[in-house]
Amino acid sequence: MILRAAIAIVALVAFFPVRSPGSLDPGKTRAVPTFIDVLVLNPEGLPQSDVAQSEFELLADGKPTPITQFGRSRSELNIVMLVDGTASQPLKRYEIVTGVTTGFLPNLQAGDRARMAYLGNPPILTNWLPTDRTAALNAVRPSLDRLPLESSPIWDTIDLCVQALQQVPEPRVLLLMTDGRATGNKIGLDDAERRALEGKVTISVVSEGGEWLIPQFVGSPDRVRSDVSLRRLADETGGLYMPDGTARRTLRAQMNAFAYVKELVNTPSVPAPLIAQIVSSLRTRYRIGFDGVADGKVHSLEVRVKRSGVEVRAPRLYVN
Amino acid sequence: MRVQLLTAAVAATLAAAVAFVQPIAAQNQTFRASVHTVPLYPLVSSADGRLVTNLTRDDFIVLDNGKPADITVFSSETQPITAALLLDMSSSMDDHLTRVRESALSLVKAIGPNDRVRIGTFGSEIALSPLLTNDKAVLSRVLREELWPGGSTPLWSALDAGMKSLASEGGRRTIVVVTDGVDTSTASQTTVVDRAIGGLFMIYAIGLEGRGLGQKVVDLIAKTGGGHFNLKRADDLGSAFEQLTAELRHQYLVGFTPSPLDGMVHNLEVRTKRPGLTVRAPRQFVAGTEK
Repeated sequence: MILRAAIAIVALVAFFPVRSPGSLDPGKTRAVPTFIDVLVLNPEGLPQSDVAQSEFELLADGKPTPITQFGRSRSELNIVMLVDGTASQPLKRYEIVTGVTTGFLPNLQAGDRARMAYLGNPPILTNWLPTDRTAALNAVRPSLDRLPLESSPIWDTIDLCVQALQQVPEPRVLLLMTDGRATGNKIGLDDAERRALEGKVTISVVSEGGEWLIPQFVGSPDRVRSDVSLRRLADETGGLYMPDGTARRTLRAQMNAFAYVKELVNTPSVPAPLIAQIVSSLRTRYRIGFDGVADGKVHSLEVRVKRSGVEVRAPRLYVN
Repeated sequence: MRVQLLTAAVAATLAAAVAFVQPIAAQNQTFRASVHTVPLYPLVSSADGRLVTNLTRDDFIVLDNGKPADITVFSSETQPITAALLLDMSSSMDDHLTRVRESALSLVKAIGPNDRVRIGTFGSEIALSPLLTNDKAVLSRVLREELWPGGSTPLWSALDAGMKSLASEGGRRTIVVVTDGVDTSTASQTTVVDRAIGGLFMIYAIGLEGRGLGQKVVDLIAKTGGGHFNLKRADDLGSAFEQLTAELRHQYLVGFTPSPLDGMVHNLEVRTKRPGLTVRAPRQFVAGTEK
């Protein structure tokens, strides 16, 4: 009798397994509401604010995925601006200072929360800046006056900024101004990217990272772009990439002294308007929700808009 | 288990604390060494340049300020390497960047389980990785992601920074530098020499084709018991790294207690009793003090 009862209980448990809320079936994954911010730019590079939900298509892991929620993103930004004043950019001080003081700070609005970070060894991260513009400028200026001439731990500092942004809600934005010549890091590019994805941080970049010709063997030169990694971060987290100065100069010109001088004059580094454009554009984004996979792995994502000539800036990867 | 961990922690702390003044072979538990033991890593070669690896303690003579010193520690086993690999990234190195990277990657592949390496570059900036590790994947990642050409050649400043970065480490502390240029440092060369002798750092340098290594650098290397290679062809970089690795693998450990313990710079000479052999070892060291 007891044996029969035990068998019956075992059979019942097997048929109606007891599951704790949110637990995963072995071999199965859990779907959770996942949100991304999407920027749509017209051919002139201006953000489009009139795109309807029906115009969006979402593909997660290559498969069409229903959009479960749609609306406008918060226009108030939680933003860290990270600048590189290290020794690889010895002639950039003026551009950095004007970029911060005329491109970044004046374009902050009521409701924004902003911090500054500086590459160095160790990196520097300011407190949240005062909302008053003059007070913010005064808070930033001492740091700008002593930009460190040290190594450039870009990936470590991105991680530091991502951690700082976890204290505030989305939209979380990291605005990076560097040439991409990363040195002295504890973590690598892949780690930095993953942490930004996990932290739901959008990385936008203003970069003077240009192209170098590095001849190795006769007839076999290597081309190296120091901003390749930065473009990747911006592309995969849904941010903007703005080439500045040398980043816009052509390799062909760099190989010819006269052409180089001409391009140098024609393509000076003027980061302030690029910074202002990024900050402004990121205020006009769409908030799209979908059921994402929660398995701790990186998944691919593609957002399309059924409208000709537009560029969509959205994360190409997500992690839950 | 906790006692073992505590013992290990205390031993490690003591070793690190003693290391800067007078590094001892504390990590090699086979030997008993006092805190004043001076560890030397002599390299012995025959007249035809082959490394001699079968010597015993009795084959060595250590002269401290000209007086024979008792050898208290000896080993012919391979000792762990703690190294800073400093790569010149100045503009003139553009032609060699890929070759330097590939050769350094080969060196990383060859490191042993007890070796630790830190990678640094010097050019427009002196950048030392914060990672001192034997994780080959991490070191390879640094070599792939963090070599950027451009700038001048702050060689002596980089040597100084490399030594500072290993200052708290014990054991055999080695600086390996690859360069092709003439120094443009602001660092005081006297300070760098003093740091090298005071910390018993061993410096190796590979001079790529071009102007090669300056005489002052060669003199510094000789004082530290290290070695240098002036390459006529940059293609030889890989074989130079192989030779360098072989030398580091075949150095002896010879430890002695200096006398007097006066805190002064002592002249040092290491010889072998066997004729026809050449010994490379530091030529000076700083004796500890009684306290």
